[in-house]
Amino acid sequence: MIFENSMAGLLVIGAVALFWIGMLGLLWRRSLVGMLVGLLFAWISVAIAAIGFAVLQGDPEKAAAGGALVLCVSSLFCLQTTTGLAIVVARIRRRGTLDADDADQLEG
Amino acid sequence: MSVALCVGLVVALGSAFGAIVLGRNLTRSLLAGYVFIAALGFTLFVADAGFLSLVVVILGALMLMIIQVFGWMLVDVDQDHLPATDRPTWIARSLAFLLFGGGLILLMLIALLTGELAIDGRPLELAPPSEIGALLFGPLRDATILIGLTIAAGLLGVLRLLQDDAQKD
Repeated sequence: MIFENSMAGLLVIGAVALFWIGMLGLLWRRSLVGMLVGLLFAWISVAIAAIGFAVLQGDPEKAAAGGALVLCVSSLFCLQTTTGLAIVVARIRRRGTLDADDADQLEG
Repeated sequence: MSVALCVGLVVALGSAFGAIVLGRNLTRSLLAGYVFIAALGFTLFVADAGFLSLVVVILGALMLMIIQVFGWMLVDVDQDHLPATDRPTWIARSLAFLLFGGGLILLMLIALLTGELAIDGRPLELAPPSEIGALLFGPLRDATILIGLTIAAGLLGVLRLLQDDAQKD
């Protein structure tokens, strides 16, 4: 049994749906900034799933592990966003466009 | 099952979807993103997630603010002015998205069907991965093979569409 209460189940299902929406942003948006927003949703969905899986189970050990995972994920999505924005800024200064389809040749 | 939690979750997911759909207008997209963060904070607060809900909300809002500041410097606030995606690429991306979402929905459905679906406080259980595997490669083997072939055909179709698009360029 994974879930012992319905709140945790709802949160995990919501996290899966949110990850799907994040992938929608990555697949449909051509703007690099729009893709970053989609990636942000995907990262937050991981944090929500961690809360649903571990924190709400009532077990202190699982809660501590889940909390640590949420903190790690949160730190990582901060780093990912700032690094991604730095790449976007460098890309625009070099090529003058936000179009992700124009960045498929690794030409800098 | 708390009604407030369900409402908050639905509002959060709707706002996230809106943020993606409204992506050509950065201001509207970010506004929907802030609504998502607020609804998510409310949902996690109702779910008694404790200070972790604050961590997720504060960092999420912070990241949206950074994207807003950089985004407003990088793109036009009203529209990103990128040319419209051509039809084959749009179809290929939609197919890839639907296939990915279909796989996720399939996994959740199998997990829910092999467990118990909770309504009004009764426990919601998802089956462990081993039981899902035994089900997929046991009684549902033929259906699994059929779905696998369908997904493979869809992926090949996506690749084919993208190949046509590249040759056209």
